[in-house]
Amino acid sequence: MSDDATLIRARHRDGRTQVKVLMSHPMESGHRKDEGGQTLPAWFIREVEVRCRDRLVLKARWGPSVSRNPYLEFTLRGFEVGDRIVVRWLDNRGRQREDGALIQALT
Amino acid sequence: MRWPPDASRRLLLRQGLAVGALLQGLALSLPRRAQAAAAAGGALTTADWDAAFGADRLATALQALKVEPVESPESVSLRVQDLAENGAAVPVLFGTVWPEARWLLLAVERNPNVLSAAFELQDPALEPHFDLRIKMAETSAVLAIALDGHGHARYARREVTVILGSCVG
Repeated sequence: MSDDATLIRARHRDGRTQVKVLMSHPMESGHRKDEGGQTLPAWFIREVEVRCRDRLVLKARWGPSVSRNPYLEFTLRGFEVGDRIVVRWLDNRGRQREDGALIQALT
Repeated sequence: MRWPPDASRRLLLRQGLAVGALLQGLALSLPRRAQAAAAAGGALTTADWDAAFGADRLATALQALKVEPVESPESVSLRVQDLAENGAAVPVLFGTVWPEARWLLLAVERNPNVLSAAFELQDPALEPHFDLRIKMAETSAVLAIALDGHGHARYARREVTVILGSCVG
């Protein structure tokens, strides 16, 4: 499940690009127990990076209390329709995923 | 013509000099500020962030980041519902208009791990405003905290009543 692609929607209008990102990840807090009473180990996205035109525009560190299948929204300036936005995450087990999407005109 | 030509030329020259001096001042002040930050020990290491993200109390997290934030709703914005029916996904809008801000943090005071996220505000292409969904274990204060990287911090705070808590980090 958590190997599903990150969904990215980037819409450009008046020089600003609104970026909506939906990542697929269990974001296990490390405080939940299974039916047998065993604590489920923490498993969460620790680092998020967003690049556009080979430029690192967003860098974040997360903890396990970001929601399951994290949703993030932010705005970039100075990019154009057709530029590619690349979102990369790295979790606390060392797994990572990188996905991209082109900036589209807001219609 | 309102201005004799030579007078307006003098004005232009004066303005040009002023702009030049300003640019020179900016160029000089940038490395100076970086030096000042290094001297003040403002730089945060990975170990500092690890300690902050591992903290189970807000005071511990702030200590790890070497800041004592002051409340400043003018500098930091925070929008979150007063009443959250489900703590598993609470949408939070947070941002800052503080020009010195280098980091923007989101914290939930009564979560087992108080720090939820830290966004670096380094690239001017990124607007310092975010929308993120977080888990809330129980009724708690939510804080957005801006750090300048030199030991100063400002925050905004909102109380959120949670009906159904999430078993969270």
